[in-house]
Amino acid sequence: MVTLVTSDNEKFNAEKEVVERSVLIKNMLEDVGESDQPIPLPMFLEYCEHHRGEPLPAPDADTSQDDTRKRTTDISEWDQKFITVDQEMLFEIILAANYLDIKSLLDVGCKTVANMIKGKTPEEIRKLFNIVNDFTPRRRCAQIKKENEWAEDR
Amino acid sequence: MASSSTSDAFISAPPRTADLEETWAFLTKGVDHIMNKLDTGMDFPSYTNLYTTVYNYCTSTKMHGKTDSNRTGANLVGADLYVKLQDYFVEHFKSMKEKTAGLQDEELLRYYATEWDRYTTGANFLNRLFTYLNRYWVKRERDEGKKNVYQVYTLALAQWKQHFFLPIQKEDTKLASALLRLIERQRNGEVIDQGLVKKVVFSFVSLGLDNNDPIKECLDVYKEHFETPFIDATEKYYKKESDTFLASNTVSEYLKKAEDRLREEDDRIERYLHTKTRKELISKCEDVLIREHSELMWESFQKLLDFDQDEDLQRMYALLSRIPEGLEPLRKRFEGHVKQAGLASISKLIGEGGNADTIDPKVYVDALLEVHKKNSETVTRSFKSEAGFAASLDKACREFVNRNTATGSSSTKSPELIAKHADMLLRKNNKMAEEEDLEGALNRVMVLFKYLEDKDVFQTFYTTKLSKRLIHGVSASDESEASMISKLKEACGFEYTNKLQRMFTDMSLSKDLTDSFKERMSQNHDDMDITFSVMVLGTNFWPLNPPPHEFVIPAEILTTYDRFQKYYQTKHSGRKLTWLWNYSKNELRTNYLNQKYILMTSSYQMAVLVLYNKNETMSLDEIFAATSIGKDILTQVLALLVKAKILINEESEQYDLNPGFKSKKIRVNLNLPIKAEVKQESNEVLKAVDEDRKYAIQATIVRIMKARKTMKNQALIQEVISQISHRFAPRIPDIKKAIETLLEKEYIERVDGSKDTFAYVA
Amino acid sequence: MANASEEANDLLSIPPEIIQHILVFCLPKDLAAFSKACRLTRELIYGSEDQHIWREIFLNLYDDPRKSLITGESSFSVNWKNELQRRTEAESVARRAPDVEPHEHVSERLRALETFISAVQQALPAAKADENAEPEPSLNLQWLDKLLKDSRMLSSAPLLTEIHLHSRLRAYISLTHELSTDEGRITVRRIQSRCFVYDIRNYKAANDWGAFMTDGSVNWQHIDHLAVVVLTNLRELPVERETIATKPPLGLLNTRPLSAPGPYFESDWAGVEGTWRRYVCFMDYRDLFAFNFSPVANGPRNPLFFHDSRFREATRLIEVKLHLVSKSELVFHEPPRYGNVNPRYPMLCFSGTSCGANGHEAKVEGHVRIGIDGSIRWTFYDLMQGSVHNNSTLWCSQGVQLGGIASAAGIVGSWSTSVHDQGDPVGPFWLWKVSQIHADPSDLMDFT
Repeated sequence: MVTLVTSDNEKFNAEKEVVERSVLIKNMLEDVGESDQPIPLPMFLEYCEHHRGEPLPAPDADTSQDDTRKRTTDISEWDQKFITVDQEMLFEIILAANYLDIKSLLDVGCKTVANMIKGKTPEEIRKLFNIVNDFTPRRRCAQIKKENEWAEDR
Repeated sequence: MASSSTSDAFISAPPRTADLEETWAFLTKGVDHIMNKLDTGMDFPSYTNLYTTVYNYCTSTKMHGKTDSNRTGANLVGADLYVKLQDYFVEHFKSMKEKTAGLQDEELLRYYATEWDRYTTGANFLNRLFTYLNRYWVKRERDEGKKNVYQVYTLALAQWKQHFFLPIQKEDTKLASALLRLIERQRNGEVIDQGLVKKVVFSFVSLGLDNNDPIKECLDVYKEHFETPFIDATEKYYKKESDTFLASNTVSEYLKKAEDRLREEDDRIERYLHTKTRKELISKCEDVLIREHSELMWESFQKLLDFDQDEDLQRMYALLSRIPEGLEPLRKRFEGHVKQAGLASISKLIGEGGNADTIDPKVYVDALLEVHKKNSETVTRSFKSEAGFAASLDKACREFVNRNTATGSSSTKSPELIAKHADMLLRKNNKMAEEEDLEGALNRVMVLFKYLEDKDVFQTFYTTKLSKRLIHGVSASDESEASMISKLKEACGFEYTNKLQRMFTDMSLSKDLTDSFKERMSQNHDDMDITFSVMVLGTNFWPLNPPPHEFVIPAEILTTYDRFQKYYQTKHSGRKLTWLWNYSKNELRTNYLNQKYILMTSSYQMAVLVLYNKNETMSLDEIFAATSIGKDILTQVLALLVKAKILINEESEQYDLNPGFKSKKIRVNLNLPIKAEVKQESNEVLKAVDEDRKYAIQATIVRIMKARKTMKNQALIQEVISQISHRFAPRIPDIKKAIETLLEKEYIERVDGSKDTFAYVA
Repeated sequence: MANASEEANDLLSIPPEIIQHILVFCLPKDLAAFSKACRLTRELIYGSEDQHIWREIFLNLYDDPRKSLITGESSFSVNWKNELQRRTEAESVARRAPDVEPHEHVSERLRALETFISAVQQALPAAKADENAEPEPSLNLQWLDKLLKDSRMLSSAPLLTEIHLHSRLRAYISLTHELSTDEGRITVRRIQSRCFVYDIRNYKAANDWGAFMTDGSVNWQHIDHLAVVVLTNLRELPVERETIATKPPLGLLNTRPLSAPGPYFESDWAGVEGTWRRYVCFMDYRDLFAFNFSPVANGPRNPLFFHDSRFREATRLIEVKLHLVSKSELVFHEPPRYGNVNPRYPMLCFSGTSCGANGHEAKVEGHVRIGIDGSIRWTFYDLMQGSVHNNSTLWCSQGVQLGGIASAAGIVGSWSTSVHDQGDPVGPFWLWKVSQIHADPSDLMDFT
């Protein structure tokens, strides 16, 4: 059992096998050794619990030769439900997965955002993510049009 | 676990927005701790603080405020952190290099190994703390083709190599030399710290780096800085050692030494070298320890053989078999050795008063077998039954079995003696048969048979001897006969033993024939007062000749003779029976003496003796007239009867019945072989062989020519030799003669305008 | 206490490597839309020094060009951004409604056609990881096949400037995109192609007596016509005779390198060794002569000639077995002395036998080499017994591989005599490799 502490000092107990889905925690337990000391980290026990036992990505493999090249934006049903949260929470999950080095969760989060972007116009994207159009109208307009010409419908 | 000092140092992490200076100022303390004082431990908060600081720095998005310079646009952050780390390592080596400057040999190695351990442990730790740098910035750089950017651990190794390892090595290859000196001390018998050697050697392995695939093992550093000088040192060391050793020790001792050294070097690889070194190291050792001294070993080989130094032989074999050209000279020498042993053994037999003509087949065979057995054991035991040595043994045996003092220049002598020995074994009353070792003895005959060149001579002698055993009923057992035939068949094929098998068929048919004849006679006649049995033998299968003279069939057996003739003709009309009186035998009961004897006789003896039913005395001419037996044979028949005291020959050519014949036995065997027959036998056999060979050669030529249509003389002769040599070694004049014969008979002809090309005449 | 959840309430506040990771799951056009949202998003797409996003998205959609077997110039480095943009642009061009006025957008169309052809050339070879494994599919060919089929881009008549590229793609597609409603169109194409293929003026010294341009590159228009003649004849193939060894594998997916039956070995880069099938089509020589020279059917060379319902063309299926030989072992004809365009693929010489339905065997030999335009050129010499008139004429055939090295689709070309006399007969052929186990000699046939 490992004790986790969130940033707001909430404590959780979790099985080592479950929390080791985070490469960070896994390395830390290996490097610093077993300890009764609480690990001061946010928790993603639910996610880890669900994916318990699935293979982890190989450590430090030079992943430029990625075999699992086929990058679909499909998300499993469970993950879909898990990730159905408000935007703020979604980005929090993504950042935490990134920090904790949980690749599968990071991918689920990123795919979810990608699905939100797909097929949208720039205006829709701005609206969706609360982005302010800060281009200076006249001068940039032509340049932007030109550099995106390749993607225009004919 | 964690001392308070370490925790305190990293408790206050810089803020998320910290710039490079602030970030590195914090990180450098942590890196320092990890690289130098990791043994004092590290606690969770410190660990997370360091990890998080790296994370924060790499993720610091300063894109809103354009003025900030941590990152420009969308490019990833990490380069400057990477450079800081790079520089840190260089700095880290400074004091270490000063330290090594004053160290030598084992001390140097010990220091290097300790530092290596500490360094690689720390670097591993750093690699994980800098995971975020590895995951994004380093990966991106490598994806973009910058192959000299590495993951943090690999970077640490690259820096060690460049800024610590190479500088030390630059001073007279200080590290490698220290290693080599330590290894030399071990070779000299000292105990060294093998773990230390292993650690340093394997650090060389780790330092090899393939830029395209840093994970792949790369041995270039190991090879350049250790393996090559190590192999050179090994060569020098053993060259010197083996020369010195041989100067004051025997070859036998050297063999032991070399064997030990080779085993030692093999162990060395297991203990502290990379397995890829095995091939080169061992082959170098073989070169220096074996190849360099192979001449000497070859020369000492004979002595080891002569004195049966089995262990040394084994050792020499094992050593020389490690170099490709090592064994052939031994095989040649071994072949010569076996041949000499075989020849000497037979010469000794002849020398001990035997002469070649009267040599006892058993003694001869035993002598040959003895030599074979001894050397065959040597092949198995000392040379691990290696095929080359087995071939040498066979070659040598073939030589001395066919040509030795006993055979002289005759190629038929050995087959004859061996066939005779086989006959002896297969006869009734042979002690072997009782000892149940007959099968073994027959197997040993086959050992020699395998080496015979003129297998046809053996065949002919064997056939003759077999026919004698069968018609005289002196064969030890049908099983043994069958067993021997199947061995010959296995060795030479169906054709070779076809005749032999037919002889057995005739024997069993004859038994049936005799029975059925007797049954018929008992139905039709009640006057059969003589016991009769007959063997009807196929002319082509039996090496038997009819008597060269007339023979008057005595009236006493004439009725039976006629009845059988008639009976046989009704069963097999058209077949001609030729009566082989010269091989027949009879039993006679005496009525003219008080004591009744049974005389076992040949048919000739019987024909003579029944004459005395009506006469008391007869002259040679009278007997000749009455029997028609050729006089030369007749005189010998009579001489035997006189010798047995049945007849008395007091006046020249006058033979009287001896009324006072006495014998201790009731059954008197008078049927002893006649001298002329014995002497003739061998010559006849050989004549038969010659005749067979002539036909065999002719038949082979016709077969070859039929297939090839035309052929040159020389090629034809070669082909005949190759096709026929499994039966006998044909002589070239015989082949030429056969060609002449076939030309005469117009089976083949000379091709027009060519002297030495023949064509097949269809 | 440090953790990662502070300030993470909007997209643009998360680290750029993560935003890029998100974008990698998007499609090319989403990149453009995203870049237009604001200066920061634009910076993320166009401001990066590296090609990460472009490369990753390209590889999601298409074959890795670094793994292709390029027969032309050997070394190249990929500009992922340009390549991805070109493919995206070409797809849009293909999907556009047919131009009312064909002269509009010519250069755009040309660029798109070129992009498609380079996608065929860069298709991932059908190398199998092991004997039983199915090869990874070629994304390029799957994409292109679907795109061209859906868009019907090639069904409108090309302008003269486009005809070369147009024909090349059509030859690759080999009528596999035709719908059942296209019968009329096919009949028209058949007559056009027959007129071209059997017009003996199209075979002259200047074009090496075959489907080539004067500069030695392939005349794809000619190849397309040759293919159409064979393919339309094959449509008349008795249905019951149709097996895996009586019809060449057709269409874009079969242009894939190394998709022909193996096994492959190092020295035989073109997959020469093995069993092949070959269709040879020909007109009765009297017809051929009449078509070319006589005023029959408003002739000479009037398409009306082929409208006559009595007109018959013969098709013959032959089996060919080939093995590699050295150049010095060739008997019939000296191969050209010819500098190698690509040292990785030296000229290979071969010889073998060919056998028709009548069971007569004849000798075949020839060579295969890379042409100056990177095409894979095959040349054959053989004694096609009783093919047209006499029994012993030496025939010469020249063809071009449809697609990459050792493509399953095989080789399309023309045959004529080796002496190239004026008025000598000509015709198309199609040669493709079959797996030994499918080669049943009873398949061989002649039909008209």
